[in-house]
Amino acid sequence: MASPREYKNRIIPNWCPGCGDYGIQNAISAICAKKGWAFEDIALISGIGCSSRIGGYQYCYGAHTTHGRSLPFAQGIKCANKDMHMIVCSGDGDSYAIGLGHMIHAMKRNMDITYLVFDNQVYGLTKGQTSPASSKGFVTKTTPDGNPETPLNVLGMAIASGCTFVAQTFAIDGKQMMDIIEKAVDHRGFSYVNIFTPCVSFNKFNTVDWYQSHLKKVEDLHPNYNPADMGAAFHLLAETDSLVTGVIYEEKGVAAFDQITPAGDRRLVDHVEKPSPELFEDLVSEFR
Amino acid sequence: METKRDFIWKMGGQQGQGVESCGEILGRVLAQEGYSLFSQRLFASRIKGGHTTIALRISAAHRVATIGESVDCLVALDQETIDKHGEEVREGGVIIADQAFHPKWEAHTGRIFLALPITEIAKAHGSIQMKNIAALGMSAGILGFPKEPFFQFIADRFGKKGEAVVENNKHVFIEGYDTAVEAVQGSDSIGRLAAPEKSEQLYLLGNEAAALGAIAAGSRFMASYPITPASEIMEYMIKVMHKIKGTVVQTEDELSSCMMAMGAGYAGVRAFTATSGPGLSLMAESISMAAMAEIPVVIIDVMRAGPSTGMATKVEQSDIRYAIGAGHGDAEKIVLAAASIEDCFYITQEAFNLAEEYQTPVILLSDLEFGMCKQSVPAFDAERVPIRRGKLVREGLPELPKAEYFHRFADSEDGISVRTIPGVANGMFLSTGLEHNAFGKPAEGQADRVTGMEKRHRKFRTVSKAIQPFFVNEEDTDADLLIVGVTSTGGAIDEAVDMLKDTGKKINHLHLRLLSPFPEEELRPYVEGAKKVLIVEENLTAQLRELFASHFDCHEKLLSLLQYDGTPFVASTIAKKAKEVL
Repeated sequence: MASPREYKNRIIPNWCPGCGDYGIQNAISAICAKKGWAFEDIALISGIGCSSRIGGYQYCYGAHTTHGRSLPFAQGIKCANKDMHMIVCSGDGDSYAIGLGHMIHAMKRNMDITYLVFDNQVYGLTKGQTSPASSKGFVTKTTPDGNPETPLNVLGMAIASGCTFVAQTFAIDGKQMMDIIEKAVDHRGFSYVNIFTPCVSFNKFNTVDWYQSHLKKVEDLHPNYNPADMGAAFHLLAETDSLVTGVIYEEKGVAAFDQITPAGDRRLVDHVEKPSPELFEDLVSEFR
Repeated sequence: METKRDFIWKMGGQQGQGVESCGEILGRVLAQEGYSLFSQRLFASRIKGGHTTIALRISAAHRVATIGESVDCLVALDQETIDKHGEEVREGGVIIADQAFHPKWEAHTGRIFLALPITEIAKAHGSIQMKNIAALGMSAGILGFPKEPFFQFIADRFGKKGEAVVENNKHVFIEGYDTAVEAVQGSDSIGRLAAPEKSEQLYLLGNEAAALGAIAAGSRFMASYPITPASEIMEYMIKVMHKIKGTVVQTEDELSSCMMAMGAGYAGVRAFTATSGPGLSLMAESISMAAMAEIPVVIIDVMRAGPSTGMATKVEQSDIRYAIGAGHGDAEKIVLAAASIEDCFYITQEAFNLAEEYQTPVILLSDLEFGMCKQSVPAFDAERVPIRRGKLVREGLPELPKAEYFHRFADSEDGISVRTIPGVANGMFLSTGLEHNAFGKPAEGQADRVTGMEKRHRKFRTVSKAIQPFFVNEEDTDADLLIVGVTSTGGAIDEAVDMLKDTGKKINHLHLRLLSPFPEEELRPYVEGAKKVLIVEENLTAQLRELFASHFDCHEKLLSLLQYDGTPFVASTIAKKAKEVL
C-alpha cells in the first residue's frame, strides 16, 4: 500500500507559502492512499489557475487542460475508460466564470466524477482580480471601488442543476475536508465539493480568521439535517448565506451516465476495432 | 424515343407536402434498380413551412456526382415551384402541376405542360396525404420507369400500417402513373434511359458516409453539438449506437464537444466531433491544446456559407484558410478534405489513423453539398483502410523507478514519441498545454522549448506519404490546363472536363485531399507541368489559390474561378471559364 506522500510527485508546487491549496493536496493524497488506488488508475484533471496547477503535482495520470474546460476533458476520459478514478480540480474563476456552462451540464449529466473547486474568492494566478465568488464590496485590481456585484450562489445553482452530491468545506479544517472528500469519492454519480481556501497573497478580506468566524457546520446548526431533502438544502443555504460546511445535498440512486449509455459495461478503450462483417452489413443495409 | 444520358427530375412544394419523401422513394427505388443517382434537397432555413425542393439526377451509365443544370421533369405542388424553377426546365421537358392550385405557366413556353389531378387522385383512392404518391406515380410514368419496383417499395414501406394502406398507396401510384402516361402520349421529346446494370451500391448522404467511416475506423465515441449541415453525423451515430455499443454525448457547446473528444482521445479511444464554421471557431482554443499536448482527435467540419451565421443552408468552401490556421500559437495539425461522398467514408478512416499515428488534431473538411446530398456510391469496403494506431503502447512497459514518469514526449528522429494512455501501468505522464519536458512537466527553459517545438513540427514531415494527398484524373503531368478543386466541386469539374473534350486540349483534374501539411513535393510536377492552373473554389477570397501561391512561385499561371452566391458550381460555368483561359 502506498502512503499518502507517494501520491504526490516530486515537483514543488508554485503555490505561495500559507496557501490553503497545500492542505487540499494533502487531503486528496490521503484519500487516494486510503482507497488504495493504483497510481495508473487515477486521472487528476484540472483547468487553469492556481488551483489547477495540481494537475501536475499528483503522482498519477494528470492533465492540466485549458481555462474552464477541465470537466469536458474529464468526461471524455470517463466515457473512454469507465474504470478510471476521476478527480477534477478547479478554482472559482475556472469553474464559476469561464467554465460555468460546462459545470452545470456536467452536473446534469451525472458521470461518476468528483469535482473539487478550490474557492479562494479571487483570481490568484493573474495576481488579484475579482471572481464570481468574490464578496460584494471586495476591493481588487478590477474592482478598485469595491465589487459592485453579488457573488454567485454556486451551491444553490449546483442543486438546481441536478447535481447529486453537493458539499462545502474549508481547507484549514483538514479533518472535515478529508471526511467530505471521501464521501464525495464514494458517491456514485457526480460529486461536487466547494472548498474555501484562503489566498494569503491577494485576498486580505476572506482570511483564515474570517472563514473561521463566519463558517458554520451543518451538524451544529441542524443536528438532524437530512441532505436528501432538497427543500431543506435550499433553506439552509438561504439562512446561512451559503457560509455553511458539510454535505448540503445528496441524492442517492440516480443512474450515473455510464449506466445509461449504450456502451453499457464495456470499457470503450478496449474496443477500438473494426465492426464485424455482420454488424457492418447490418449498418449499411438501410442504404441499399 | 431518344436514349438519354441522364434525367434530372425536380419537385417543389411547401414543406410538409411530402416533397422530400417523394424524392426519397424515387431515389431509393431507382438506386436499388442500379441507376446512378445524385439528389439534392434545397430548403429554407426555417422551422416549418416554406418552399422546398428536391432534385434527383438519374443516370444509367456514368456515375453522377452533381445535380446538373437542365431539368427534364419538374413536379409542382404549388405555383411558387413553377415561378422559381420553371425556367430550369429544358426545351421539350415536362412540367407536371397539380390542377388543384390552378397553375399558371404562360411564362414557360416550349415545355410540355401537364396540369394533372394530383390532389384529386390522392383523395379519390386514399387521402390528401397521398399527393406525393400520386406525383411519384406520374414521375415514374413520364420518365418511363417500370411500376413493379415501386410496388415492392410501397409494400415494404407501408406494410406496418396494414394491407389497406398498402393497397391505397398502390392504387394512387397506378392511377398517377397511368394518368401521366396517357397525358404525354404522342410526345417523344422526353427520351428514355437505358436499363442499368445491377450493381452493389449504397444511396446515402455524405454525412452518413462519414459516420460509417468513423465506425469502420473503430470509433465508438462522439461528442458533438447540433449545427447545420453537420447534425446528421451525430444523429446517425446516435441512431446506431445501440448496435455498436458506444457513447455519443450531445454537449452544451462546441468548446465542450472538442474538449470531450480530446479527453476521450487522450484516454485511448478514437474520438471525434462534427461541426460547421461557427463551431470550428469555438474549438480553436482546444485544437491549440491538442497540438501542444499531442492529443489525437478528429474534427469534421461540414462547411457552409459564412462569415458568422452566414447562410446556414447554403454551400461554401470558405473554412480552408481558417482550418489550416485554427488555434493560437504555432498550432500545427493535419487538415484533410473529402474528395467525394464515397471518399467521406474512406478519408474519415484515414483521419483517425493519422490522428493516432501523428498524435495530433485532424480537421477533416467536408461541405454542405456532400453532407446533405445523397449519392449512389459503390458498396463500401470496411476493410480497405486498416486501423493503424501508431506508437501506442498499452502493456509491457518496464517498471518505473519510484516517483518517476514515463517519457511520453521523448524526442525522437521522426518527432513522434511512444504514447501511453491512462490505466497503463508504468506509463504515467503529465499532460499539459504548457510547454513541457519529456514527461510533461511544465518547462519554460529555452532548451526544452526549442526541443519541444522542433519535435512537434518535425513529425508532420511525412504526412503526405501516409495518405494519398490528392486524386488526379491523368497521371501525365503535362497539361494545357490543370483544374484544381476541393470537396464537392469534383463532380462539376469532371463534367466540365468532359464538355471540353472537343477542344482537343489536354485538360486534367486534380482534387486535393491533404491541405495541411501542404503536399508541395507531390503537387509540384503537376503544377509545373501544366501551362495553366485553374483553381476552382466556392469562396470570395481565393483561399485555395492563396495556399498554392504561398508554395509555388508561378503566380501568373495560378488562375482563379470563384463563386460565393451560395449555390454549388455547375459544369457549364467551369467549362466556360476554362475555354476563356485556354
